Amino acid sequence: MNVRTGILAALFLCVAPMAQAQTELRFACYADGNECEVYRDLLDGFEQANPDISVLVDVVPYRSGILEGLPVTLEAGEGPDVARVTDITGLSRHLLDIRPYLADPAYWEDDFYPSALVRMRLHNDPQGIFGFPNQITMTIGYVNVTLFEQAGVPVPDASATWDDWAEATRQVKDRLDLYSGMTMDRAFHRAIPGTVAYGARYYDDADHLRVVDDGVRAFARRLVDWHGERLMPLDIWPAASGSQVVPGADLFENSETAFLLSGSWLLPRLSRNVSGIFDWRAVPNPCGDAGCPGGMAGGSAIVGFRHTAHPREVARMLEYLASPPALEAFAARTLQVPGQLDLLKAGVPYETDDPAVAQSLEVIGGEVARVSPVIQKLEVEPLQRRILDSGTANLGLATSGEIGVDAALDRMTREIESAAP
Amino acid sequence: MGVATFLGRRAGGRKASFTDWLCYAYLAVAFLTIALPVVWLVLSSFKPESELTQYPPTILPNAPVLLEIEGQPRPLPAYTIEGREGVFGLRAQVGRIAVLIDPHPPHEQVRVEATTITRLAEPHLEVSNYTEPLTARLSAFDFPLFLYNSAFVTIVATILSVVMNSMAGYALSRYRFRSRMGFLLLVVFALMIPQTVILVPLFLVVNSLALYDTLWGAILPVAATPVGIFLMRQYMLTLPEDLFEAARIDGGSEWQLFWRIAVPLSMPAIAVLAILSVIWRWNDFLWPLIVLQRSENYTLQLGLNAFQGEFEVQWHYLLAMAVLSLLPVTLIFAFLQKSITGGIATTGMK
Amino acid sequence: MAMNPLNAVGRWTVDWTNPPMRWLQARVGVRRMAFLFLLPNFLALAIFVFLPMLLNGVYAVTDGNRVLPTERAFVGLQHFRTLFSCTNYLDPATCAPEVFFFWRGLYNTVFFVVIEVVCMVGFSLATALVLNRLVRAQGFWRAVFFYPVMLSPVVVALIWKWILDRQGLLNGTLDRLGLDGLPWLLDAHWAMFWSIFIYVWAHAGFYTLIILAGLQAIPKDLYEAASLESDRPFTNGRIFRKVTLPLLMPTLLSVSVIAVTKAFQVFDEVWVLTRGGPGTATTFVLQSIYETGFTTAPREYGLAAAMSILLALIIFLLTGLQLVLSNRRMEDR
Repeated sequence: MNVRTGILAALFLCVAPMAQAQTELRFACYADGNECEVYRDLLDGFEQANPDISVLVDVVPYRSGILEGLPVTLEAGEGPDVARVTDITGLSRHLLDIRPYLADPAYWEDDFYPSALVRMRLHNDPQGIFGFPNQITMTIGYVNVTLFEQAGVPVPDASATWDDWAEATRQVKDRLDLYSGMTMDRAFHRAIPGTVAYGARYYDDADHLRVVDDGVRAFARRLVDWHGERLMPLDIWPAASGSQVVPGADLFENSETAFLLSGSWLLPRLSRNVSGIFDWRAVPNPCGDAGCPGGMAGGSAIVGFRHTAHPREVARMLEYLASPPALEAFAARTLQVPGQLDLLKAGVPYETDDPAVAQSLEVIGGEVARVSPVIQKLEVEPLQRRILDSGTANLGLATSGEIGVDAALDRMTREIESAAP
Repeated sequence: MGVATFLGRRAGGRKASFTDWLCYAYLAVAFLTIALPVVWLVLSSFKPESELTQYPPTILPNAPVLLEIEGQPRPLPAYTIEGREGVFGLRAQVGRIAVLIDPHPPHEQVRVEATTITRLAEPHLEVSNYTEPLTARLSAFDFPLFLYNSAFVTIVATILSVVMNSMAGYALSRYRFRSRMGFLLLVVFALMIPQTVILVPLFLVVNSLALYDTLWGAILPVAATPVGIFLMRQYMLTLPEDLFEAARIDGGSEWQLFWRIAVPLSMPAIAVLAILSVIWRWNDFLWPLIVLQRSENYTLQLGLNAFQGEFEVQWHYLLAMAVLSLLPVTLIFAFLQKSITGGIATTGMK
Repeated sequence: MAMNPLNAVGRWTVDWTNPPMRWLQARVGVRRMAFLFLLPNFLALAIFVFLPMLLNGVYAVTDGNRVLPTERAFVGLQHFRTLFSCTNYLDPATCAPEVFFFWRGLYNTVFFVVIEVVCMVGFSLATALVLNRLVRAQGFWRAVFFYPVMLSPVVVALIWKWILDRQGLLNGTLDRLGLDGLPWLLDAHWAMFWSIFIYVWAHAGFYTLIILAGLQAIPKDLYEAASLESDRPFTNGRIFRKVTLPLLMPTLLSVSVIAVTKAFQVFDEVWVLTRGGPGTATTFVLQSIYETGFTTAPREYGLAAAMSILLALIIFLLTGLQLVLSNRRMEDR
């Protein structure tokens, strides 16, 4: 009996402080750089201001933790209270409407980059507020200026087409005996601006989704040809199967490619790994026969989930993180483009002394301001995830040479049609 | 006696034939094919990060010789230049051009073809590849925790397997009852269903039992190994019945008979089962990949997989942790090699 | 047996639990105690193997991205119709898009299985014969060949990825020898070659052990009898053909069938090594099921279940074959 009483007493001692402890929120955060550390710092301030709430920042790997794991977890009725996510449309069914708890809903509706809210409301209450875009990423080009200089090839200017870039990087590759000339992340998201630059319209005159047209075909053919002549490396598009994303940053960092089309989230990493080794800078998305459509925005949002036991506390936490000072601090310290419009306009006092980063942020800001109407529509397209997955998978197949461009695009058409309601 | 004659000597003093030499050659090649990759992994895990990207790679772990040069933000790796005296620090090598800096004032900058420079390196074991992931928390990768999770899953699942399988094997070997054949058939049936084809519904079952994303969710579905039942039954069939009869006459209950006679006498089989179970659970991958989602629940294998799937792979830590995950299995194998290979040869299962 | 702490704990536990067990035994009788011993293991099997097997059928005929069967819509055989929708089964591109990777994976898997099993059995047999000849250090060599079996698939894949990388050990060595390296994992044929090679590398030790046990079970006097009966010279090749191979046949058959059923479930190593690429060159059937059910959006649990049932059927037939063969082997004795 003595032992048992002892155990009970010990248990009680452990449990007792917890009984009166605060509400604990779990925040699943993924990081490309220092994002989660910055959030931890910001949330320390939040906890001080709200002693009844504590937040556990759970740093998870992006692919297995957020992209693939989170939907299954939420479907199983489990998971964190708050998360940093990218596939907003896919998760919208699980999002928590925090509107009832907000002091100023209008701020949330009007002051943020609009596509995120549209996507959150997709399978939801059209009046609801579910979170905020904490970071906008733009597709953007990165140039290894040093390689261009060594090869004696001028860097193409802002009005250069993909064909111009192909020609220029081909020369650089040949003269310096490089592994590849140019590289694009394995993700259809990165290819969409290129397709629009060559005339893709994605919607017909009646505004129905019609993904595959001559514009998509023209750019897809170019991608396949560029892989065929090894101007683009085999390590990225052909290397994986299905819709898996493969980034090209490693090749760029190792000077194995002269031009990389990737996302603006790469900035801090390049500043850390590349600056001081070679000269690099960001350039606007290349143009095409059909003009210069700019890039495509993506990015992440901070959202709460419906199954949480503490909706009021979740709303307070989001409200804190969405306040202008917190947004500014986050953007400034992570070197990312903020999702809040005033801040976008006013500019962020970025905490960097790397001139390449400052120049790149300017380019990115310009790209955010000039997104073409077609791409804006695609940014809020309900079937976006299906289009992106299907595009990645099928262009991947085509670039690997397993099936022809036409067969790949046929499959893409059928895949997207079968998903349409 | 020459080495060749010694090696060629066979039992009975017969000289080695051509076939024998062929066998030795075969063994030598096979040994290299098996050992080299593992040795290469271990050696690579002691290389510093900058060394891992060196091409062509060196076999033994080296570290670049670093030069502290005034005016440079970080120490530069030392190089020699063809046709020039002295050592230089490499500031950048991009494409065909290498930019080097003379360590002596006035720190002249030298631009040469990259093919004309040679790196200076010295043998070095980068122990921090091991100590850093184990002591400091590296973003999402908390390896000590993964290690603990793996150990927990392995130990608990093994204990459960051994207890459940021994009990079932005991019932199926020491008792005669009408449905015994039926139970044996069920075991065969369970053996024939690989877990890989019931992933989706198993996910539902585990979720309904509130085991999703818990270590128990990775343990319970795999603990009732049908192979283990067979192993235990085959062994317990060989125990002499007299012992059990004598104990019954002495007033022992069936429960006591099992624990006091069957279990101690079956220790060799239990040892084999326990060892096999440890190996299985330590290396499990697909089911944990599905059922464990929070990174604090990751096992080592999941941690390694997530680690190498990230956009910026930190190979120096990854390789060190891979070596670490080999360690327990290798140790068990080194000490218990006989019973493992013996057990597998007799059961034909793994 | 000596008293050690473990024994003491065991004894204490048994003594403590014995009274209720004895009471139970008095109630139900000695015979029925067997069911008590069976209960934990079979309860676990029922919940985690047999019930999911039945539920698989439920998933396969319902649709939606919900996990709970009650929230899923009944769709009959729709998933199977999708699965068998190809106009030309030899060309997966003509199948419904959702099952393209399944069929591609199935063909890749069949190719993998055929080549891999031939290599695996051939290599294991050769190794077992060599080991069987050894007079010294047989245990050591057995251990060498078995060691890779103990390694986790993830680590095996990492080791080889590190070697076969574009700038890995293999290309580096070739470079030093003045030869051109190859992008081993970026070429469809080489990626398949290395998948098979690595799978054999990692698992051959297991089959070697079983074949070695089979070899050592052949009575020595049979060899002598064979040499007496024959008036032709007694060569190694002849012994092998006339004595060893026929007697080893049953072992080789069952080893092949185990190898086939295992190879059909290839996933871990190759997935970590190549992620199914380049293109779909190393996408295997289990990867397509895993991706259909757990990683693509929206998650198609129903279709994945239908695929699993098809895979189970294939494995079931092959295991049935194994049982028939091993039964015949018993009768031969």
